[in-house]
Amino acid sequence: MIDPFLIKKSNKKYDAIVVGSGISGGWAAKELCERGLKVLLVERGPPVRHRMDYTGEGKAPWQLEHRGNVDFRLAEDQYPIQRKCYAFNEATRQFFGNDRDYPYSTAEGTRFDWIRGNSLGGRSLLWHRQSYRWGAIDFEENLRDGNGCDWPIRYDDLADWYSRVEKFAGISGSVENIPELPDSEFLPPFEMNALETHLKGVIEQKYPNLKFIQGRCAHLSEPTQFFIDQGRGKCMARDQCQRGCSFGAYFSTLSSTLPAAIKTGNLEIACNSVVHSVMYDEKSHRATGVNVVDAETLETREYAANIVFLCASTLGTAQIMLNSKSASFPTGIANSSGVLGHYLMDHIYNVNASGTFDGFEDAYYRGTRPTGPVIPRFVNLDGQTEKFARGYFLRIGTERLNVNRGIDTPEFGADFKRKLQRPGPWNIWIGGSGEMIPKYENKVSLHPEKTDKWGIPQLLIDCKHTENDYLMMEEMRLKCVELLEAMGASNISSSINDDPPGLAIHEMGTVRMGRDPETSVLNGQNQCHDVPNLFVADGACMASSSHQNPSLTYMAIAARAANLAADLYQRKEL
Amino acid sequence: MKSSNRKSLQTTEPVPVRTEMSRRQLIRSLAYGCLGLVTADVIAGKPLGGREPGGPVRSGQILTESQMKLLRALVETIIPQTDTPGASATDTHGFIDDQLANCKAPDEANQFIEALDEFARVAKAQWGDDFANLNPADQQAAVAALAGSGVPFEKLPAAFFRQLKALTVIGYYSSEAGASHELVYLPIPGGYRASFTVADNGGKSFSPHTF
Repeated sequence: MIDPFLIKKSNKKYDAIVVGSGISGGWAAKELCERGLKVLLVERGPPVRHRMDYTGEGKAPWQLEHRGNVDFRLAEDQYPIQRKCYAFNEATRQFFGNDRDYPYSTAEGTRFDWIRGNSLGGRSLLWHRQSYRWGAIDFEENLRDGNGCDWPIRYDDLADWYSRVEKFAGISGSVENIPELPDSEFLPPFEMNALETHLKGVIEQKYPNLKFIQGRCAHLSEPTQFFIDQGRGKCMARDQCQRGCSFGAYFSTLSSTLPAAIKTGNLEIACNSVVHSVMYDEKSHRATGVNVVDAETLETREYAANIVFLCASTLGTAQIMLNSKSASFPTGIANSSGVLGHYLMDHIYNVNASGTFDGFEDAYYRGTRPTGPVIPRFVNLDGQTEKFARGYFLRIGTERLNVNRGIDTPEFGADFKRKLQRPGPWNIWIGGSGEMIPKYENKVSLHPEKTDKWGIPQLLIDCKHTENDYLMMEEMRLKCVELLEAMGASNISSSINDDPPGLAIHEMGTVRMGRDPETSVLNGQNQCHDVPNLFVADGACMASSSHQNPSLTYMAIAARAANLAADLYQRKEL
Repeated sequence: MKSSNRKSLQTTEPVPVRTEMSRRQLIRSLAYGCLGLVTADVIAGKPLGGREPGGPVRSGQILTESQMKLLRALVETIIPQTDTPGASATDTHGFIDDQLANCKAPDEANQFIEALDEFARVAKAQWGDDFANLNPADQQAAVAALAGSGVPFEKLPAAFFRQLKALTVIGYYSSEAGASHELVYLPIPGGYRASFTVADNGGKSFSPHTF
C-alpha cells in the first residue's frame, strides 16, 4: 500500500531523488533504497494503487459505456496524439498523458507522435512488455560504421545486470544461443500454436541463416515461489494488460519494483509533482534537488537531495535538462558538449505484411498470448552488405480471424451469422522493427515562446526518417512478402505506412552516453560528465537504438547506474 | 498444458463469466487464489433478459424514433435471431445510436444518418411500406440490393453498407449475448494453451476483446 509513503512538501534532504516512476525510475528507486539510501520518487501524474485503481480491468465490452471507444470530442480535444496508440481506449485512457495539458510542438515540415504515460508507474503500466537483451553488436556498431559516438559500455558491462533484473522482473522465453540475441534468465516460454510450430520448421529448413523463435516477454508464464511471495501470479492470457493487472502477471513498477522499494522503509513518493528543472549549485558544481510545480494547484516547491536521477522518459528527461539553465549551463544542465537534445531515435515500425493460410482448420488456442514469434536480426551481421546500415528483426503474429472478417463482405443473414460463429481461416502477420541511425539533426529543443500550463517551455521536436530508414523499410517489406510466400500464405498484402517517428514508442537518445565529454553528456556510469551527482538512466541515455525492444536494457542500465551511484556515494565520492 | 496442473495454481482453470456480479471481486479473488490465499468463488450464471424484435422503440441520443425502428429492423436482418438472440434483441441499434452520438466524427455521423434516411425513402418507394413493416423476404431483398449497391440503392453512398455492417458486427459481438451466447466469452482463460482445438471449443470462436 503506497498511501503512507505519499508526501507533498518536505524539508528533508534526501540521499537521492528519482524523477519518474516508470520502468527505469522504478528500478533506480528500488536499487538505491536497497542500498540504504533515503529516496524520494517524484512523479508528475496521480497515484495509482496496484489492483485498487485498475478501474477498467475485467470489464466486459458491454460493461464499458461506449464498448471501449473513447468519446469523440474528448479524444479530439484532449488526446489527439495519444489516441493513435494501439492501447488507447475507454479502459486505459486514465493512464495516458493528456495532450491538452502536456502540449509539445514539432518543427515545420516534421511530425512526431509522443505517446506518454501520466500516472504513478508511468508507461510500465502501458508497455507492450516484449523483453530482449541487446547483443554485443548493438554496443559496437556505432564504432564499426562511424554513426553516432562509441558507447562507453559493452555487452559484458551489462550482462550481469541483465541477469539481476530478469530474475526479479520475470522474463519468459526459450534458450536459443543466438549471439546477436543473448538468452535471458528465462521463465518457460509461451507455447507456439500448431501453425507456428509448422512455420518454424518450414522457415528454418528453407533459410538456414534464420531462426523462428518464440517471443520473450515480461510475463510470469509459470511463476516460481519467488514471484508468488511478492504477490505476483501467473499470466491469465487475458490480453487486457494496459488496463492494469491485479494478478501482477506482467512486470510493472506497481507490481514489482515499487513494493520492493517500499519494503526497505527508505522510500517516499511525491505524486502530482511536475518537475520544472534541476537545481544546480555553481560553487559545488553539484545538482541540489529539483524545482517542482504541483500538477493540481500549480504551487511551486523544491525537493533537495545529494543525488538526482532523471528517469522521466527520454523526452521528459531532455525537457527537464534543457529547462535547467544556470550561469554555468545557459543551454541546459550538463550541456557543455552542446549535444543535449540531439540524436533522437525511434524504431522503424512502418512495415506490415500479412496473408491467410489454408489448413490447420481444427487447430485453435485458448487465451491471447502476450507475445508472438520473432525472427531475430539476420542482415549486416558481419559488416554492411545491404544498401542500408544496421539491422531489423521481424515480429510475427498468427491468429484465427475473428468476427471482424465479416465486416467487408456483402454477406448477411442467418448463414452469415453461422459462418461467423466458427473461427475464420488462419492469418499470418509479419511486422518489421528496424534501427534508426543516430543523427545530430534529429533533435529536441525548447520552444522559444510556447509554454504549458505549468509554465514550462514546450519541447520542440525536430525529427525525420532518413534515406537509410526508407531503404530499410522497402527491404523489410520485400523480405516479409518473400517469407509469407515461403510459409505458403495466400492473399498476401504488404504496406509501408507513413507514421512519423514516435509511434513505435521506443524513443531514445537526446542525452547520450559516450567516452568523450566533448561529444556526449553522460559517461559510462550514466553520470553527467559535467555534474557528477546528476544521473540519467532512462531511454535518453542511449547512444544508439538497436533494432530490439529497449525496455529490458533500460532496466539493466538503471539498476547498474543506481548501484554505481550508491558505490560512489557511500565512498563519499559524489 | 503443464502449468494448469500446478497444485498451487489450481484455481486458474478458465471461468466463463455471464454475470453482473462484481467483476472486481472476481478478479481479486482469482488473483489471490492464484497465490494460494483463497479459493475462487464459483460464479453463478444469470439469464439474459432478451427482448422480442418488434414492439415499441424509443428515440435515441441522436436518432429519431422512426430512425431507430428502421435501424432495429436492419440490424436484425443482418444478424437475425437463430438459436441465439439476434442483433435487435441485443440493442445493437442502441449501440449504433450511441456510437453516432458520442464516438464518431459529427460529419461521419451526419452522413450515415442522411444515408439511413435515403435508404428509408427509397425502400418505401420500392416496396410500398416502411422497411420495418416489410416481410422478412422483402427485407432481405432490400438489404441484398443495398449490399450490392444495386437497384434501387445505386445512388446511396457505397460506404453506407460497410459502415452499417461494421457497426452491426461490432455492436452485436460486443453485446453480452453476442459475445457469450453466440460466441465463447472467456474473460480469464487461466493461461495460454496451444493444444486446443476448435472442437474443444464446441466449434465456436472466442469473442474478441477489442474490435
